[in-house]
Amino acid sequence: MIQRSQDIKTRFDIVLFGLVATLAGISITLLYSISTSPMEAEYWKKQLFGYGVGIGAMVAVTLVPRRFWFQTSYLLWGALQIPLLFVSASAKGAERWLAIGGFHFQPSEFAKLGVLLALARLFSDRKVGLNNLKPAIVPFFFFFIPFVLILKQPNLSTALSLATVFVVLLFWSGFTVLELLILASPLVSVGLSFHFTAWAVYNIFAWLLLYQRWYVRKLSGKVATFFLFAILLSGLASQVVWSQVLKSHQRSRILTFIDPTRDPGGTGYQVLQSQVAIGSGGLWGKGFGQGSQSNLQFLPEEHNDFIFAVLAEQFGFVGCTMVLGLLLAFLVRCLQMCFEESDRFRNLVIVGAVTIFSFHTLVNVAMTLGLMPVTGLPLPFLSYGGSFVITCMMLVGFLLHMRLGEDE
Amino acid sequence: MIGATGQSEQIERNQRTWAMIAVLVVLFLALIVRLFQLQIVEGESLLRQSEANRLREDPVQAPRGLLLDREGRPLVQNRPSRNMVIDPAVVRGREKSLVKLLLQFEDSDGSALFDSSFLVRLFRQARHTPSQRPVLLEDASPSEIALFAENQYRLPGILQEVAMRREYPHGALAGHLLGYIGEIPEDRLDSLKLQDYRMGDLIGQMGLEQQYESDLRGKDGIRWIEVDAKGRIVGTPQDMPNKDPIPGRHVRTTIDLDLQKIAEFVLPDSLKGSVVALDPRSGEILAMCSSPRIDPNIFALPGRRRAREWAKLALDSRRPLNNRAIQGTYEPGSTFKIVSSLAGLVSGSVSAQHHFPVACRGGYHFGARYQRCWQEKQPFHGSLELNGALTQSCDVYYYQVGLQVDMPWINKTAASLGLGSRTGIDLPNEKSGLLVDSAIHERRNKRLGWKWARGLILNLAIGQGELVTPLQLATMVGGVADGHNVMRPHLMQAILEPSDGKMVRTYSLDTLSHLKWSEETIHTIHDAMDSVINGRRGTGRAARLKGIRVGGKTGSAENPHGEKTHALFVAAAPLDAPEIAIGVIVENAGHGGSVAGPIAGALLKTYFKKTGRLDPSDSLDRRRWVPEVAGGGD
Repeated sequence: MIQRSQDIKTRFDIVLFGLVATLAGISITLLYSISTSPMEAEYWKKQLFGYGVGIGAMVAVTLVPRRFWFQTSYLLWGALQIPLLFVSASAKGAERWLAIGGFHFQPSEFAKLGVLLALARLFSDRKVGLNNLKPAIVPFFFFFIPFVLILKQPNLSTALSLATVFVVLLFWSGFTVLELLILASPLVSVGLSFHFTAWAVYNIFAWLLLYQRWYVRKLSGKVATFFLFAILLSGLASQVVWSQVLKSHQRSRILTFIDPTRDPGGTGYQVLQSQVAIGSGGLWGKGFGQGSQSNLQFLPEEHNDFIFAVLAEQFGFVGCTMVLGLLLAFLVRCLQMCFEESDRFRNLVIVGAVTIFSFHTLVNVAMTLGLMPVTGLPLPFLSYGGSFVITCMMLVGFLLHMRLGEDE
Repeated sequence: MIGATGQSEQIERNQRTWAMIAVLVVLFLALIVRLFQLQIVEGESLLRQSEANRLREDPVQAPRGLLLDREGRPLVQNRPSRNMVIDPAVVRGREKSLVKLLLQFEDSDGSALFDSSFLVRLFRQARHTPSQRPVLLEDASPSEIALFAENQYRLPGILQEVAMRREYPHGALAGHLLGYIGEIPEDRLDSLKLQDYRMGDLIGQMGLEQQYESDLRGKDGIRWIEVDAKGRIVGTPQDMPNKDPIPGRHVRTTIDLDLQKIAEFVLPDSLKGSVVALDPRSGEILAMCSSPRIDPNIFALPGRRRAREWAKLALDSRRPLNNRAIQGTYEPGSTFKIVSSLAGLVSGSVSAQHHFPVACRGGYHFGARYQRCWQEKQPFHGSLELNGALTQSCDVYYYQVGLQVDMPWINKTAASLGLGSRTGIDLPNEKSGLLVDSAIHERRNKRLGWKWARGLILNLAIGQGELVTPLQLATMVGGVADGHNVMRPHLMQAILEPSDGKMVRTYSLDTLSHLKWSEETIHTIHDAMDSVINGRRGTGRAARLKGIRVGGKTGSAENPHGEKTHALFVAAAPLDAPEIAIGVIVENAGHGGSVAGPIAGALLKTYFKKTGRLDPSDSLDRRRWVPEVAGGGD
């Protein structure tokens, strides 16, 4: 027991925890500021409760023995996929929730944790590269199965956050930046295929690059050829699918997703009102509780996906910059651990966790600022939501757990 | 340890960590740049946009000005009423259950208060324009309010609102000239938008309500309100540039309520016709009545009942919507003999003592035609001077006057007395009437190919063929009685500031024409008009007063609409210094002297009793009043 408590002392990072506590405090303050409307009166209390449970979960995660998460990672992966299957099977429409004993869970949030641990363990004993794809096959399936299940819910944004984690872990396990770019090149081809000249120029450059890589023996002939065709065919296929397979309402849904202003009554309205709320905050903001956009319900989903707009309206550019600074400080502080930690598994867990946080933060804020499509991804620590807060706190728990300590 | 490897790998890993930190910093900076753009660069305009989101102008109804009689008694006033309105934000999503419940509501007769198509339309409107509250029930009665109050908990989003309504305290009294207000017709909305009218605003649509719209209307105020995203009003923000409504100005009319009441009484709805009484010195209308009448209160009724009453009026064959005083055109009949007499006197071809070659033996030979006098049997009129001819209304005499002076003189005289063209009274849609000469006759009958013939003068000289309005008759007789000026008739005396009753402006008196008659001419015609009323053989004895010299003329005009003639009467008193001139027309009622004469008499009695100059034994007994419908001479 004595050793355990020393363990906690060494593992407990006061700076990291301080950052998290500050962000949690801001979250509750913001939710309290919008509690004047009867629909949202209870959110700040529920959030407080969520943080209570979250801290418990964090402590529990931190306290388990040193190798526990490594050893149980595959098991956890499997166990956390089951509710996902359950939701997918019963799902009609965008049903992402599972109710157990009166509590609503978002299984995809917890599934992420399992995927993170399993991938970290898998990548911890192998080195991969574009010329060395075989060791990546097993990790790919560990990623791909939950990816598809979550995509089917449908929960595109969470699925994409998993993909990002996978890609970053590939980078950590040997892929160079150039190799990652080649990996992504067919997707770029799809995007550019809507502008023929750009696509043609892109193809020529991509082919020349692949040829050069092959010529200097950095890429095997087989892989280079595969990507050459992948780039060409994915562009062509995307055009066929777009004009022949997709119906016009599906096309317009995709276009609206990319450019919400096409639908001024729906998501376009949300994006516009979010920008109005943020911009009207100005330099210093309208003051605590004075956000007219949020108080008068012009901001939809303000407690959740658009919490950043609530912050921006009340506290202005200064407040936003400070909160973004806190979030960035939190992420950098986490990455700092990698400098101190030589254990690959722990490194990968840290990097994966940081990726999840970063992805959420960047996509959410970009969305509220009107820079990205509206995806419904919450802002870590700030957005309202029980499962999400608990997941975030458990991730913090993993981070603390992975901190350099006495090796047994 | 599985992951523990050489130093080079640690360095490589550190590089990757740095790379990740760098990427994160760059991306966060990008977000901050965008934040700067939104909050600092576009901050001002987005702040305005957020204000525009939450702040809304709410119009505040300006009270409409009142219409007063000449003594300041209200003819039209405002009263508060209660409307049941729908709050679109609250009813959203509950439309079906509300419609179902509202359809069960019944009024006191047990018939349904609403029909489903109306409710569906209303709720659709509520959904489309959530910032406006559509009116479910206008001017709810106490029992209807009680009905809604009982069911309050089942009727979320249905509220009571107070609105001012137009009220006509004397019912149909002077309804035609007061007019009414109603919603702006759609085809006029575009042009009226320039004058700050909005859809659904009420606007004067007839009579004085229309004529003095710009004075009566006032200017609606503005109250800023704070609304939420669903359009619900959440409060009234401080320090906003609210504007108080500017109340409309009152119009003090020239109408004398007492006289108007008598006019309404003596010309009941059972008779069709019109009475106009005016002051010839100024042209002020003292009373103006058109029957059958309309009650302007029906235009203030709630929607469905208003439509029903309106349809009834529009389809009525008696045409109650016509203001006969200014829109009814009638042949003047024998009342026109005043004009013919004057034409003879003014032209100098007829003197007071002149006897025409043909004495009245019941008719007159003109070429191959024989034109009868109304008195075809014994005792014949015989050979008359002007006084006797007007008193007994001898047609034969006036046939010869017409032939002697010819149409140009007759029409010139008629025009100088205000006939044949609009008097220019301050009411919309006045008719001009008609004077006939050879050119006009041939133009009007071009289709039939009728040509002018001198024989037509015979008819025109006794008032058959011209068309006049009752207002023109009163103007004419007033001008004749005054002998010097014909004043433009009008209804507005003054525009008053509602706050303190100060006069904003008054009607500037206007002379229609100066009569350049000799004193002898005036004397002659006044004597003749006196004899018509007071003479032993006068046809207008029903309008005589004790101690006051009344002058006038009766008329009975044949018309294609009925067996009985239109009864006409013109009168003015006192003849030497006239204060009141009256024109009366009762359609298809018989003779002027017996039907129209007593009506004029009743008004004269009321007027002079009020000014204290009437012999007390001569006052009007309203209990014994029976509109006579028979007997008497022309």
